[in-house]
Amino acid sequence: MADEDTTVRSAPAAPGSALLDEVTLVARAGDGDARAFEILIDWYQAAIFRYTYRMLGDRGAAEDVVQDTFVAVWRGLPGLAEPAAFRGWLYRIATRRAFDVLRARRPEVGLPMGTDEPVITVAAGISTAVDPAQLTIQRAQVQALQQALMTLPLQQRAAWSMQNLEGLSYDEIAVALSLPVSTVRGRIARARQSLAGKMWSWR
Amino acid sequence: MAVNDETRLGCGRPVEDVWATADLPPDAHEQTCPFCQDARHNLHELAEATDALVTQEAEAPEYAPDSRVKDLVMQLVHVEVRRGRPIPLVHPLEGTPPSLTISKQAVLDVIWRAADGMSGVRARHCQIELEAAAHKPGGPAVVSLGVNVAVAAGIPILEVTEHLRIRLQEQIASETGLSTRRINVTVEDLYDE
Repeated sequence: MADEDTTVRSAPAAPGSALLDEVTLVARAGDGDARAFEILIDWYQAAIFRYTYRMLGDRGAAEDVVQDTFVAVWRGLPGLAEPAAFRGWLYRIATRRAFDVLRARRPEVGLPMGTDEPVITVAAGISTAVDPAQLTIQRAQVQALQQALMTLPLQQRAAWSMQNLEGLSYDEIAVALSLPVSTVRGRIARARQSLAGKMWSWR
Repeated sequence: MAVNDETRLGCGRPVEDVWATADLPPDAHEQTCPFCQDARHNLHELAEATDALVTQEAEAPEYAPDSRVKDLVMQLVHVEVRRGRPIPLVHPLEGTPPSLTISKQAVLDVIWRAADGMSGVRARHCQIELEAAAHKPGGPAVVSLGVNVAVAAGIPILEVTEHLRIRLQEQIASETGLSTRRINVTVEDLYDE
């Protein structure tokens, strides 16, 4: 997603001060700079929320995971050897916590989840579509995709979401899932095949 | 979907091969093959749905966490803020504890603000070492700094780092009273402005 592209983002750590990039903010937050850390929260909290909300299908649980994730990030930052690897590491913490919540709900985590999972549906419109018929089609497409996502095995769902909805690289997803890049590629390919295979049925 | 195993379509072509060229016009085989047409169509359908979901999530307030989430995290951060070990401002007389100290975090703040006031340089990780051997009893405490920086591409590195060194020395002396013995600046990255 373009708005999550960290390579072009910058922000002043204090009003009127120089613009700072992500690596600088991560390094400073690791040295205990609360202002730098707050900017990182501003940049990532919505993305981490969407990601975990998609995984869990529950607002309250997703907000708890977001909160736990950023607390763990704050405490873990001094030990992060490579600030440039921040995003993959952040998603790893969020993924592990989301998986923990799912494991607590049902023991068969890692196996394909049933279609009885709650599907996130949002009533808000998609403003880029002005034609009501087109809007209806888009809503149906989105709902079909959300339902299809919920039927994927957890790691496939997480990997596909991180690549296609969050804009993470294969390397970052490998860090997030603690898997080799080759395994991540395979999981995403299988996820894409499953999802594409299910998209014909939405009509 | 017309997939008879994990990777091959009914016509024998690997589905990944068909998808790899899905943005190009169909080749002669794909123009007539119902399996390949299905595979291409389904991938386009998935791409459209993905774009629509991204748009929906970016625009709908339901996809943003409550503001209390950040507030709670920041409350904890301020409670746990790592002050670091205290640095004596004045070298204590032998056998007496330091009577006046400054937190490492406060010195770091001075360093970062000093760097932020300059263009073309961004201060990152910093180390502060107390130079016990350089102390004169009753005089200002002496520290050495290690400052990692990123520098804007195209600007003279020696000039900007020397300027930073002078600025840090002055700011630390004027804001904390500490004396700096050595300031090592490490340029670890270049960035485009």
